[in-house]
Amino acid sequence: MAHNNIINLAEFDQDILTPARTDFVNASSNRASAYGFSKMVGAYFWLVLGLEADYFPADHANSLFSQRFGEFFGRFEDLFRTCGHLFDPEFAPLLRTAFTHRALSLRQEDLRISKHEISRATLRTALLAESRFLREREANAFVSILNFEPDLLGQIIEHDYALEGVADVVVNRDALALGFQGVWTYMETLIELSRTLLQENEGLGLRLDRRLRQLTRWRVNKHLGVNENLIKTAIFVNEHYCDGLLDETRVASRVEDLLDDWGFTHSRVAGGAG
Amino acid sequence: MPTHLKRAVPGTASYALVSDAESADTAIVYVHGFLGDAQTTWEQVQYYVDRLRDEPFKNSDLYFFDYPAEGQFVQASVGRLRSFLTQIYPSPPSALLEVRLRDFDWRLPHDSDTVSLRESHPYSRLILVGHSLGAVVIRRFIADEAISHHAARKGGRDVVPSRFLDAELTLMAPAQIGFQPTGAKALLGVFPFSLSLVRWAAVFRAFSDLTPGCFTLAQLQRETAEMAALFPTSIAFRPRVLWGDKEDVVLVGRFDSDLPDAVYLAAGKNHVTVCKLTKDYQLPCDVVVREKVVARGT
Repeated sequence: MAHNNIINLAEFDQDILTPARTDFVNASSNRASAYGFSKMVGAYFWLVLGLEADYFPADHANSLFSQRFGEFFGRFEDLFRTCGHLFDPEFAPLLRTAFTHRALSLRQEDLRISKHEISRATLRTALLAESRFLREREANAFVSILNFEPDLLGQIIEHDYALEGVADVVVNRDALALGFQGVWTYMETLIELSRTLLQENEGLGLRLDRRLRQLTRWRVNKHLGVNENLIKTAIFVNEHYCDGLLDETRVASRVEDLLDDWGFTHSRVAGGAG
Repeated sequence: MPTHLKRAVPGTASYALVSDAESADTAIVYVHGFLGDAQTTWEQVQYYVDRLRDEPFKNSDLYFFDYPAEGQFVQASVGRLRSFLTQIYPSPPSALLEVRLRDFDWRLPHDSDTVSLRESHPYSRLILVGHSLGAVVIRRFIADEAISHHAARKGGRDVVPSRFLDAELTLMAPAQIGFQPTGAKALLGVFPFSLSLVRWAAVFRAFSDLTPGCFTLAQLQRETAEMAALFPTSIAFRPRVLWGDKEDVVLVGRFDSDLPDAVYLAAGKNHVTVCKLTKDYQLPCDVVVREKVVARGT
């Protein structure tokens, strides 16, 4: 099992952490910096979750942490002011502790995820979705615009304005449509995983679902009001690529349905459940 | 208890769930179809792989083949599948079974250069699982293998039997008879909304490629029957087929050479949900890993 956990950590580093760090370090605009920083926040908490669940080995994870998070903490105070609002408020004190001690900071014992088959299955499935999403450059460009420069959406849609240098893709209408598709698939995959976890009908399933929401829902942040921009993009795709195959009302309702299933970044906003 | 680890298949966008059981002897290759992909089509195999009663996947490595299904003609996809299968069968690539820790800057001083999941042994069993268009790609691949082998044999050449003709096939909602006339509209209801929209043009092209009775499918059915007769011991011509009783995208039917008693029906499932494993629906696993179907002449 010890070897297995090292292999899990190597996959995580190659698929998620190193690409996130590369994007963060090489970011050439405020938007790219903010999005790169947000991906590093996500990667940090994936690492912590994997440690809690005994999916990653502790000594190696600490070594990995010391190799990858130097630049992140170098700009932490500055960028967390810009991006911190995207995340569950629980994240801020945990990150500050890690920042102060320059070490992985775990939650208090009774709030951790336990070592269990369900935890391993969840991490394997969720990290697969995460790595797949990170490989899709258009989807990442779309999310960075959605979160950090939403006004650009209108310019791209209305004028086919081609934005250069976002995550190595030129964001024009085609890229926007592909990005929209990538984000939608990512959301549906995680919604399915949430359903599966709730079917497990165990406290651990519920706790894992809550932790996954904290780690993933920030990309399409319902409590920050992304509904309108997602509907706008969906209507554009329907009109531009399908000659208005569906009427606008139906398009809007599909987006609203997805966002209902997707839920919120954290359960406190959703009404205190959990 | 065996554990499966996610590993990237080198040089491809495909991935594998590799078993750490030393007794692993089976490669299962999942080939998605229209508007599918290597993860979403096969939900939640990735989650349940180690959580099913009696550990049906214990001795299996699961490969999820990634390719642009509706963006290519069937024959082009067959070429990609052949390359992929040649890479992983009969021996899995060593990069899947081990990690070279010396390549990582976070290795610890006492670590060895490499860590291994298990010893490397060749597989003795190959199972190809296709959904929708993926099933057509698999059947075309098997027919092509048999035709090439038969031609070489007829030419008097000393031929090694194709290892792929011993593959077992499991087909889920296969598009082998063609799409229903209303199938394109039905897609909008059952496939992810954004995919249906963005790839609509490709979907229409694919639909015209695979209309009932079209050349591609008629040729496939004819050649499959011919090769099944020429290779009566090849189990690759005896697929297990799983349908949902709410199928609304493709026409339901079998090739003349298929065994009627290897057809399974799932209640309440449609074109998309027929292959999605849940806690209460494990037929997509049972059909894949059940005992080999006995072919004629064996």
